[in-house]
Amino acid sequence: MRKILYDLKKNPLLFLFLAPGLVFFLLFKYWPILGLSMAFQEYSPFLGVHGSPWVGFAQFGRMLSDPDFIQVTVNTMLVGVCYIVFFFPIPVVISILLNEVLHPGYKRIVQTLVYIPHFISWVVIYGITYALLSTDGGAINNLLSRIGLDPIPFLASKDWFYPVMILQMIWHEGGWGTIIILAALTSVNPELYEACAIDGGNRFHRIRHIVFPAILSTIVILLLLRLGSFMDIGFEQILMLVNTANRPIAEVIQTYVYRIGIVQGQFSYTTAVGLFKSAVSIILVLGTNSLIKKFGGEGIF
Amino acid sequence: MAFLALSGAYAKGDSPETISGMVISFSAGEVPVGPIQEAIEKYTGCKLKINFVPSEGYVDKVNIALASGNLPEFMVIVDTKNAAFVQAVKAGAFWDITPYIKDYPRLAGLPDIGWKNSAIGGKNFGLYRARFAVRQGIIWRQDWQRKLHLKNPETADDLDAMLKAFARLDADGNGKGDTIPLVMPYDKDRGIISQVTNLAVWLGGVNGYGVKNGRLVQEMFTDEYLKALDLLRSWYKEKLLWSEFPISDRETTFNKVRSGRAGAYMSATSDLDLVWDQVDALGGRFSITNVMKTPAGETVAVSDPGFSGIIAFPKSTVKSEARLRQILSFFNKFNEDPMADLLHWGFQPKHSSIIDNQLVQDKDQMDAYNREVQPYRQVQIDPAVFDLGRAGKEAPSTAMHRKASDEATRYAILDPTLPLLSSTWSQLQGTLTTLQSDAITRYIMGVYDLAAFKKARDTWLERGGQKVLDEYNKAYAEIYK
Amino acid sequence: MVENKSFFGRLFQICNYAFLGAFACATFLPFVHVVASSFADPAQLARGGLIFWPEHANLLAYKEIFATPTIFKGLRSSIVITVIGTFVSLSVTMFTAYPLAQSRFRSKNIFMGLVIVTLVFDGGMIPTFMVVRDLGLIDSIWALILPVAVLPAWLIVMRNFIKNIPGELQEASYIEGANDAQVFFRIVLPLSKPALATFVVLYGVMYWNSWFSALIYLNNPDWYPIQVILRQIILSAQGVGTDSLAQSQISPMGVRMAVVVVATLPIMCVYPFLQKYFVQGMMLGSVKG
Repeated sequence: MRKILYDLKKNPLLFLFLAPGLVFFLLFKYWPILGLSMAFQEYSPFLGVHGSPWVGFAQFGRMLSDPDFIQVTVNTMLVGVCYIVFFFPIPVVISILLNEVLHPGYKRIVQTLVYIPHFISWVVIYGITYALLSTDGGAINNLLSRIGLDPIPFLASKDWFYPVMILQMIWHEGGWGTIIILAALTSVNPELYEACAIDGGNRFHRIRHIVFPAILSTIVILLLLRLGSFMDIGFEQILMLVNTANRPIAEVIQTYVYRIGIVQGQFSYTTAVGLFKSAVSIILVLGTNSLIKKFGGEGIF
Repeated sequence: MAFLALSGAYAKGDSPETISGMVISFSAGEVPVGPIQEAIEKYTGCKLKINFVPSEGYVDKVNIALASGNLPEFMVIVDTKNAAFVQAVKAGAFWDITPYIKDYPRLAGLPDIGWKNSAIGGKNFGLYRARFAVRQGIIWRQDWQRKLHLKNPETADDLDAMLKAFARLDADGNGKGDTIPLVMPYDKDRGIISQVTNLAVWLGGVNGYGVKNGRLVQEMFTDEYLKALDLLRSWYKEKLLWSEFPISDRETTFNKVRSGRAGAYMSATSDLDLVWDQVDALGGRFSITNVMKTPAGETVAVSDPGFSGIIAFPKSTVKSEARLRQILSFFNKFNEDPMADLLHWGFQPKHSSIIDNQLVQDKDQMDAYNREVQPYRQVQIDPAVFDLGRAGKEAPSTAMHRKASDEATRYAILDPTLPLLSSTWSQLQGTLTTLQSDAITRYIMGVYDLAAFKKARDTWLERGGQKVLDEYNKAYAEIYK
Repeated sequence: MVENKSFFGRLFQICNYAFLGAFACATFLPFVHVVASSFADPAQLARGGLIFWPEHANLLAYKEIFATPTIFKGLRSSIVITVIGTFVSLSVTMFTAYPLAQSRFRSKNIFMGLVIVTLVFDGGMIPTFMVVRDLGLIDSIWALILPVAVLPAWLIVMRNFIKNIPGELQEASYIEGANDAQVFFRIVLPLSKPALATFVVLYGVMYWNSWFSALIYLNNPDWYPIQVILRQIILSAQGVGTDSLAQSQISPMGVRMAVVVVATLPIMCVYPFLQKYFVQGMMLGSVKG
């Protein structure tokens, strides 16, 4: 509180800048958060928040005693980890490589092409995936049978779920993720490159000591933000991919709740699950943030 | 023709205020409030203000309307077992119209089966929107059948023989052996539960639930169901049933039929409309059936609920019985023959034309019809389905499946739990349905053996199925004692 | 950029170009399939598989889309919402990020904490609806803009960008007696062009793609954005909800592909214009000049 009063006195203009955003957050983010009380009720839209009965932690009890839910939570976390390990570096790598391209025209063309998939809906992407990977007429399996191998059920097997999902994700989001990083790259002083070259450094020195540090803070922020939505990663994509064969590992919290909660209008349960997800995410974000600060970096907080 | 008399007809009695309604719309874009609505208003003597809500957000908008108290005077409720809706009904949010129906001839005259099936806890809380009661069946390529000198399949065994014959046929003559004897669309929520139920019923079993030894049992626990599963399992193994069925969406499945690769299709025979034209262009012909003979010699057909949602009347907006009666009388008038014709054919020549004393539609008229007339059919209880007030020529596919469906209605085997309420079912519907769907798919694919399937069946009971059965049995005893 | 003319330098260049080229092809080819499918005739689409060249190309799918009378209303609606929304979002996000990036601002951590909480906690559809309703925004396009004006994640990224602007110029200004507002408008803003360009794209795409909030908050279909209409077009092409009338020459898949093209084209055309802001040394270049 003291800090706020201090700023009001010493930095009033800054507060003015902050004002619209503050109003926004209070109105449209914090006021609705009161609705999280639904998680402790047996909410019925007709009875509303005031009329619906209170059930304490019953919804959470239901959640934790559902054997499917535990499995689904594990799946969700595995998907998240996969994403961070296998996908997250990709836009960084592509941005750095693009940065090394000398020919501005080529750079522009590649830049424009790689982010197109972002606009294609997951339904269409699944259709394309199907055309490529199905065992009946799929392009890849046709190739395999031509060279005498057995067809592989890419889409209907547990083993192939992760590879297919990651490849799809890379294809869909890899280019889009470069936008923010490329913007950060523009902050590098060209004189630094010249200095590096004069000092006898080659390309890899340049990348390691100049390019990478310049975008490091951005990468850290992006990572932390990703952790903020860790439990939601891949919803629409997985909704298309999940089927009877891969359900034990493919079903994530969001698709599970979509099937049994939202569609049936069970708001309390859905809200309780949402709270659970949020709790996990905030722990991840704050935990990683502290870790980063311990290593001398700057977190978001 | 009845619809020509429209322009002069004024309804007796009055309805001074505008009736407001919320209706699901499948139309792309805005529904124009124009001549069609004027014609309806003129005929019924009521003014209307209808909010056509796009189907994608409809359920959410209903929930929001319930939550915010901003309700119209009538609203389409798509799923009568939806937890939020059932809670609202129990809390007294909607009028129980059971005692009033008899006063309105058009409404009372609707088939009983619909009133029964759309009831909630034995009472009717809305007007049901009639659909064909029997839609499940088989569509097959008649030209293939002729080529192979096969008779019409009347039993499951006939079907088996036909599929085996189809497998040997190289339909498109490309020597690739890529003929698919049977395809089935995989529903994203229910998988192929419907299709297994179809076969089970055709083998003499129950539709979803049935009464055995005086108590309700769920289909998975009947012998006929296991027989049906075994049949499908053998079809899958022998590659008679398309191997990609568990991962393909509806469109892809239809495309197999449209491209001429599939010989037979098991699901709603009304889907014939969606594949007819393309196969016709290939020179193919179709035949369908909704009825089968069981091994015991009985003719049966699988009954769908017979309705698609209901039109309910919120008490908070319809404040008095008198107002309710006004609105009911609007619906009564709205479902008379001249209105049925209007909604079926629209205006001439904008939506259809009269050629050789028959009503026909070309593509442009069909577009205009879909945009301007079709949305109002969502408000209709649609007696047109039952051959009242029909005056014109239909597409050949529609004529075919409607005829088959009509003829099959009297053999319909019903699901006795449709009018019953089970709070556990409302809550656990998703989980239990997925359990069953996954279990049967895995068994058919050979991933599960019989022991594994039975274990999955027991899991269904443990996870709430037993509670559901108990609740249904209790409700059944109360209503049918 | 300094060129490295050694053998390894050349090798790297070749590999780099090849790799990026391959990646670009991999992302582009499926799009070719989408475009080709939108022109393909239903028979070819029914056969399945990847299409790179339509055999009997036709415009049926596009006709289906543009024959819908409301499509142009939807276009107008989407353009208005996107332009106003992007402007509002950009302004508020920048204004809010600026103080949070100043180290002198002692309460910044408190407010950052508030923001981070909203990053992970969300009230849900019905509570948010109630707020929008209580503010009287139902049936107004402001309901599609104000509740999502600032994305907490992007606010944090923006703050990070501002923090990374070298401080010398700003300090010099302060010494000369400039106040916060002057520093913001004369120095920080011009130096933030890459960040602004980034968020024009990001927020722009967000508003352009919005459909769910339109369905929930708008009762009058006059202002339905184009995405709502396009999605319904796909549904009606699939024969959902229409009963007895047979579908003829339109393939739902073709319509879906055409929808992707129509929905994507405008944004794809915008990005190249903004690319000039993503040039190296932009920020510093402006400083020098």
